[in-house]
Amino acid sequence: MSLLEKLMERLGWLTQSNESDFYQNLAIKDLIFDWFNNEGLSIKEFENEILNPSLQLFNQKEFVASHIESNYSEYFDAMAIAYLASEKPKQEYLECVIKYKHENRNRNLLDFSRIRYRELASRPDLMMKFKTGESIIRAANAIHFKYDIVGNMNAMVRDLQFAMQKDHEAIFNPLIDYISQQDFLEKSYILNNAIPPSNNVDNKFSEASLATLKAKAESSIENDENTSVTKELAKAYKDVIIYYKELPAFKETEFKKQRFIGLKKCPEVLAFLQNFADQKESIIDLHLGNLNLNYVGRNEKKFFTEFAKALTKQLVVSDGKLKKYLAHDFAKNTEHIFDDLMVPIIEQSLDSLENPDKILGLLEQKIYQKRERAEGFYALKKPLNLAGQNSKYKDKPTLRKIYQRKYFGPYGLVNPENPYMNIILSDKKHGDDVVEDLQRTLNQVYPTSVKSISKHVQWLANITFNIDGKDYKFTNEIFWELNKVFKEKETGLRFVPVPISTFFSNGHTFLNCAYALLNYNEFQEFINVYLPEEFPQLIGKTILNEIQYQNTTAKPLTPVSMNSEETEGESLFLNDPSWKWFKDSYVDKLASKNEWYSLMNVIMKCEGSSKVNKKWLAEMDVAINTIGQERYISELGSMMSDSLKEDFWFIEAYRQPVKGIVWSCQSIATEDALSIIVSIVKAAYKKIPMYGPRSAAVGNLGLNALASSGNDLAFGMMNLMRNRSKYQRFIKAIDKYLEKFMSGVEGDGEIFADKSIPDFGFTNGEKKIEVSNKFSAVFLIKERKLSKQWMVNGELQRSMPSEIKSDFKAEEKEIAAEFKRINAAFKDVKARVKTFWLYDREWKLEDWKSYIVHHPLIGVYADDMIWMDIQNDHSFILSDGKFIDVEGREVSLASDSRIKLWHPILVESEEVNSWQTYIYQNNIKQPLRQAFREHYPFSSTELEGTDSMRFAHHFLNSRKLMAIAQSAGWIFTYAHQGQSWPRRFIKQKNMTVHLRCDYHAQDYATPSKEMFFTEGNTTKVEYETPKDRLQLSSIPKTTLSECCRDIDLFIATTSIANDPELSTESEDQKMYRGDFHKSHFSDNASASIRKEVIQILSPVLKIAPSFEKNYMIIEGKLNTYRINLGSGFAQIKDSQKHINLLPDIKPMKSSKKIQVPIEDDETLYIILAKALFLTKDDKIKDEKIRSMLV
Amino acid sequence: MQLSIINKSKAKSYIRALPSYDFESSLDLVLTLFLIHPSDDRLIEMHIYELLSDTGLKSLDNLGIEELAELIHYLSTYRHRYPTLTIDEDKEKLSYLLMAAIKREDVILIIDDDEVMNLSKKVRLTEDSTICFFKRGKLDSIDFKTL
Repeated sequence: MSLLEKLMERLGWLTQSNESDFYQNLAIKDLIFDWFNNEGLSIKEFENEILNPSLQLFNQKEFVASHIESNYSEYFDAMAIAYLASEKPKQEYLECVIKYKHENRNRNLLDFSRIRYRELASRPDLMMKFKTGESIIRAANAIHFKYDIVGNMNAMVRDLQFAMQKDHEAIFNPLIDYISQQDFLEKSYILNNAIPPSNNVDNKFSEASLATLKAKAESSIENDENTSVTKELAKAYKDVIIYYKELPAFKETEFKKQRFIGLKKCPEVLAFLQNFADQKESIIDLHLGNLNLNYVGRNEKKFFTEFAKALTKQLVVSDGKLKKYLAHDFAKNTEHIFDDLMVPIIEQSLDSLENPDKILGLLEQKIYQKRERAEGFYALKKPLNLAGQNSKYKDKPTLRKIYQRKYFGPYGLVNPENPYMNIILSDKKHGDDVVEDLQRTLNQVYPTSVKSISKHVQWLANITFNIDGKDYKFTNEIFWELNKVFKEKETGLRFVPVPISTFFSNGHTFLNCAYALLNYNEFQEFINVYLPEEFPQLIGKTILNEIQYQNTTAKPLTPVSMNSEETEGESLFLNDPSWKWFKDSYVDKLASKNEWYSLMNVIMKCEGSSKVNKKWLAEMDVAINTIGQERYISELGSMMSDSLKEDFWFIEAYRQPVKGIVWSCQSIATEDALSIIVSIVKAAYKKIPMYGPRSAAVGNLGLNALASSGNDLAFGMMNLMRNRSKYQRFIKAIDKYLEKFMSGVEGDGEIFADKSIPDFGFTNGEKKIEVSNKFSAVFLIKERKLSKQWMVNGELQRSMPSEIKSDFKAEEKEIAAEFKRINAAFKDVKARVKTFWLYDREWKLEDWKSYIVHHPLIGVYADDMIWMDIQNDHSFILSDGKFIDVEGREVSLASDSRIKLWHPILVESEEVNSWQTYIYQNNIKQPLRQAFREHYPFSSTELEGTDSMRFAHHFLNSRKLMAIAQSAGWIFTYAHQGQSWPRRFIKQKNMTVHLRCDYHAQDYATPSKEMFFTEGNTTKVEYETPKDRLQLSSIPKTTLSECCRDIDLFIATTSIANDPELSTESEDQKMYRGDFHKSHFSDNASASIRKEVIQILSPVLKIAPSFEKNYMIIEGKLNTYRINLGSGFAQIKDSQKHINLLPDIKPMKSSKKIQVPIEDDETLYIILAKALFLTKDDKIKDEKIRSMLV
Repeated sequence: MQLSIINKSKAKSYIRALPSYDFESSLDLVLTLFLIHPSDDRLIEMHIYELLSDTGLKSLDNLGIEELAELIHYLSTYRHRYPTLTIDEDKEKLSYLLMAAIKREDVILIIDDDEVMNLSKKVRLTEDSTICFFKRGKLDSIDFKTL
């Protein structure tokens, strides 16, 4: 919003009006008055005895009082209804109340949170009155109306347990009376579940209430005609299953390991099953009523699955019993109940049932009742498939075909008033399997393959199919769009929605449906026979009217089910229509394309899951030898280089062929073969925003192949990838496989990595690739750039000879692919050189010469850089292979020299100045900023400590900070507010650097606090702030300086205010502080605005700054300085040395305090104060500060 | 969007598209800015902080609910002890005070690229305008130290 709009809005000239609340309120009032009058209750009495005393108590809080004043109606409604429900819980009124809550979805309507129980603490009688009413309303909903908004069975149990506490009899008695008067299936289970575990009774429950509950529970079991459960069984079941967490096996096992607990470890459960072996049907009754099964998570799955298996073993049950089972109100997330219990029982009993179709029909009904929306159907595949065995329409194949779609999908969620037919993907794997089934269906009509499945949020799809040689991009409305494609191609088939169930949301009715691909006649039968019988309400709706056929004579398709196996075992590459487009676009462009057809056959038949199948590998070897290894790798490289940008390689269906390619390269294991694996890994670990890597499975497969290749070059390549990447998940994966590699190797990982960086066949900066007698391609490294030129009859030229394009097309592609791979590695090498500072690397002379100076790629970046011999204490620049000192003289290096990459922090300022002069005078362009590199000296006082506050109290824009921190290789994410801040693990030094920030999700800006280091990898966010911090003096100087450089970058780009006062105050207040809204900070917090303001203020303040980019330049008497207009940090202008000036702000006298109507830009004041301070640098008294200024 | 003017009696829908707006004078602008300035959440934070220092507590971290309730009760009872924390609600008065400070050159008013010298001149604001009230005295309260 612009400034003007903001002004308008705040003035109230821009507002929204909302009238509908008014009318809804009237209906509630009618209900309340009817309830009072018809049940003989007095409103006056309610107001005097209940309402007004409560409101008086609420009014004690000022902000509540003002809220009540403007929302009186809400308070009245909530308290009146709660009162009425507790006095006269009549069914018809309760129904109205619950319906309102559900259908209106307006949170302010009947919001029981308006009843402020905390304030009512001094009037327990009032508190209990309201609580009773609320509990009864929840119970009514759970038992009769089952709208999830208000409550469910579990809430009822909780209410009972709350009411059972001492002195809460006023709640308990009406509630238990109400519940026991109702007639519902789960009554005995509810009452039993509410009894606390036998070994868990502390004194908090009222003895009387407990006794009453137990009595009612027992009598409900005895009187319950629905079950044959006995008291003893109920108790025993409760002890071992409902309170399974109390079993010794669970109590004694660590939380993380609980998922391995099966029945074997629980003798109590085995004993229970044995004791009640003849009452299995009753146990199942109890189990179905167990509300705790709402959540069967990973830790419980094995236990419950084995329990269900033991129960259902060889169990055959009658129709009547099954009907009773299916009448239960199951727990909500019911995979366990359906998959482990109901499916086996029904399957085993099917043959002996009187009316199997009825049972399957009931099962189907239950599934759709429990899964209101289409995306839930995928989770219940097993029971749905079982329900599909229903023999309905057995003799009517067309109707049966249509009917069957309900069980196999794909599913959609549509509005029948619109023509748009969308797809709902399953929540597992974001629907890859659904899309592939769809591909198989379409493949029956035209050769179809999946090119990409865009990984977005679960219910939004972007799928690209290649249909009959052409790429089609589909959105969520895929079936509608496919119908358009069929229309275009004049196909006589259309996708038709087969209705399943409806549900109501936000004032609209939606339809869950499945899709069938029907021809014209089938469609007519659907409209004229199927719909009137099954779903008449869909007739005449837009969604069906939009389906038109021009071609009415097409043959029908045989349906493809979700479970269909691959029908063709011997599919040849050429005959498989789903690979046709791949053959046309990629394989046919290769030189040896005919040999490749057989190679692809073998690749497609690749076997092996995590390890390669030896037989297949032998077959592959033979196939490769038809064109020779070198040719194979070269052409494969060219094909992959082109096709890796496509998504299809990362889809499940193509997993095996990719594995085949990776394994074939692994077994060849030359530099080029390994490079191909590297390119696959990089493509696989490309990050898709909001989703993750394209395919971690493929990426890890490649990394594993590299780690197991037995070739040291693989190690070097993995290190290069790691140096370059900023994607933390990728780095973690690479580290894992680097460790795997190193487990078989001795020595220092980094030196080993240096040794293993491949040289790609370069000598003297050149690599020649012969194409023919006349032509060669030449890769040149000149001025730190890789270029490609051509040698024609011994002469070098830039442009590609035309004969190459015409006669050697395939070779040209291979050369281009190789160039691309080498260029990528070359860029990775640059990132590696930067790490020499962060990791504080040093080398023996011989190692340095061999692996750094003389390496064809790394040597390029070592040249023109300054190095130091720390053994013999001198520095030199590497210039064309010679070692030159700062005077310009050539020097030699002693054999005991230890070499390090020079950094300004390691030397005195004179040396820094000398080298800067040298670089400037000789016009040297360094590959990395070195002589003029920003550096951050620390005083001895600071180094004695473990924390540095020099970057503290800057308010950083949270979102921008996350982005820039991640891009610099730090980790900082949204999770774990309060304990999350930027961190970076420096593996080679085995330490983690932290910039602690007080981050909360609602803050616009996060205040930075101290910087510190810890040992090991502490990047994982824990609830405790790390206490064991390393002393700063133990951190290598270059590491420390480079970390500070990163942090300076963060602050310079994201800082909004440097406000130590606000930052320390809020730290003390912890969670009681308000959020740092944008309104707390000045809108002027940007370098460009500050520059403008400073230019206007300069004459007034009597300073004369100049400006360079984002810096303000100040001339002092002792030196020239520059101040960053974003962060406010100051540096010596020439040497870029950071000056650690911390603002010391005294509170202003109250007489001088002037209130202004917009927030101050705190950093601006600090910048100007610094400028004034440094202008008079000769007058500074503090010795420590003066010493920093030279 | 429906719009309604400040007394919420009518609806106008065209104000949104204005490219600029003229305030009759700097006083008009200042008064308008004060009127729309949101009530200060920082007041609550300042109260808490003053209280903390007053009672000698280092932080709220280890306080229980009862203790916190007691503190807040103390604050509301003895509010008169903290007169400096009461934000002046009288917007008109604040506007005049600020204008006086500008005239005395204790505060420099900058709008867009200019220092505002003539306070009775019309002020035009556009979508990209910047406003800055610079308090000269604040610079005197900032000193520097090092570690």
